Amino acid sequence: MGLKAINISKEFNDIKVIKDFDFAIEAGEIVTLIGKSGTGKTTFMRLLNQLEKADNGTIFIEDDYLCRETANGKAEYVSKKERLAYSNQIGMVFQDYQLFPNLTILENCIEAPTAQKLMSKEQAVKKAELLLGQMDILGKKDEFPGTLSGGQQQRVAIARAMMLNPQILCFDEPTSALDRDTANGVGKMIQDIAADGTGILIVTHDIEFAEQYGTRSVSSDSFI
Amino acid sequence: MDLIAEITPSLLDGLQTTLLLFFIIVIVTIPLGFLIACVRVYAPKWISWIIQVYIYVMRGTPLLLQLMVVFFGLPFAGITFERFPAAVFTFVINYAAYYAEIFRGGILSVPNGQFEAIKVLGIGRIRGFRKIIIPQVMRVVLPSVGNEVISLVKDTSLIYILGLGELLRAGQIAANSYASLIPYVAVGAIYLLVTGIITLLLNVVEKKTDY
Repeated sequence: MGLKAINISKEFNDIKVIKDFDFAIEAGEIVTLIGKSGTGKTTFMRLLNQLEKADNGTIFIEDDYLCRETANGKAEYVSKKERLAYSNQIGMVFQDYQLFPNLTILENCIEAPTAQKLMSKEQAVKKAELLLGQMDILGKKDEFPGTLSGGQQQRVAIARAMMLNPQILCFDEPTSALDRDTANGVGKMIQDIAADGTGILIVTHDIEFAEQYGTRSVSSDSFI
Repeated sequence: MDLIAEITPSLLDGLQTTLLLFFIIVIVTIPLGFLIACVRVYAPKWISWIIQVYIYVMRGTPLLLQLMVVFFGLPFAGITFERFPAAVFTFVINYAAYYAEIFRGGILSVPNGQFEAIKVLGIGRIRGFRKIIIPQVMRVVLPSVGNEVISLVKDTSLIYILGLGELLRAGQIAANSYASLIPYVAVGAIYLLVTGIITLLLNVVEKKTDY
């Protein structure tokens, strides 16, 4: 169980951001990725979520590959269909949440599973209501994201990502816009999700948060 | 009052031409402008460059001149239009250029993160564009699109240059025949009535696309 990234390299404009980096995350772990700004933490998370392409290396979750290292060391990406199998195993909560402002909270949650025909609309609604209930935000399900506070939007973003049952859930700077109390709330929520067997990867500047809620920490110093 | 009764049929005749041109242009140019904007944003650089030149020419020269070139100039190149089709063609290429720029602004106003969220969630580019991006674009562009639609009502009066009898020309003829300014007042009132109805319709559309 879990995600493995082997021998990953990535450069931008001839500047190596990540070089020969190995990384693994197991079910139930909460791994925090810490380090200074501009050291490639978010880039690494974006590689895992297909928002950037790795130059070299292999990335997979169980039997589902995103890319494989070929004989000449380059990362070769799998077909679109295979990538979809991979991408449903990994979810991401953006730093600024990126909820869809023209859809209600409930619609935000059911859009991906219904678009991918993974479940019927009724099943999706049922599951979304369950998750929104767990996130303590079910009362807002028919409202639009613009009416919610930052903390509430984040909980919706978590529920939206959980709709696809990812084995791995990534958070980009989850506490950057939150006060300490709200951040602790999110930390506990993340612990609950991990306790159910999801592997968590958190990119953060917040050392206190990382120490309190992470089970293991990786520094971006090890990228190069 | 007798005068009003006498000129009404010819004014309504002119109004018919005005409205026919108006509806054809609105229905054709708004989707066309959106398409051109998408091509300009997403197509390779050289295509985007051609579109920029096209937009520059359409916005940089008077619509009246464009009408004259199409109707009087193109026959020299072997392309001949009837009067009304010439008007339709010119208005379409002119207004589509303005709409393309408005829609381009709308597309660029949607944060990149929205496209990334669509990708990460596996929603699919086409469905994501239709259900998530376009509604956001519409909300941003509607006030500017409304401006152009209202402008179009009044710009249709330029087709007098092709000898087409639209509303303002009908009023002008009536004013000359009866040596009176009343027809101009009547024409102004009709324009206000038409733009007033369109404004109300635009408000309804704006409310519908709001979230």
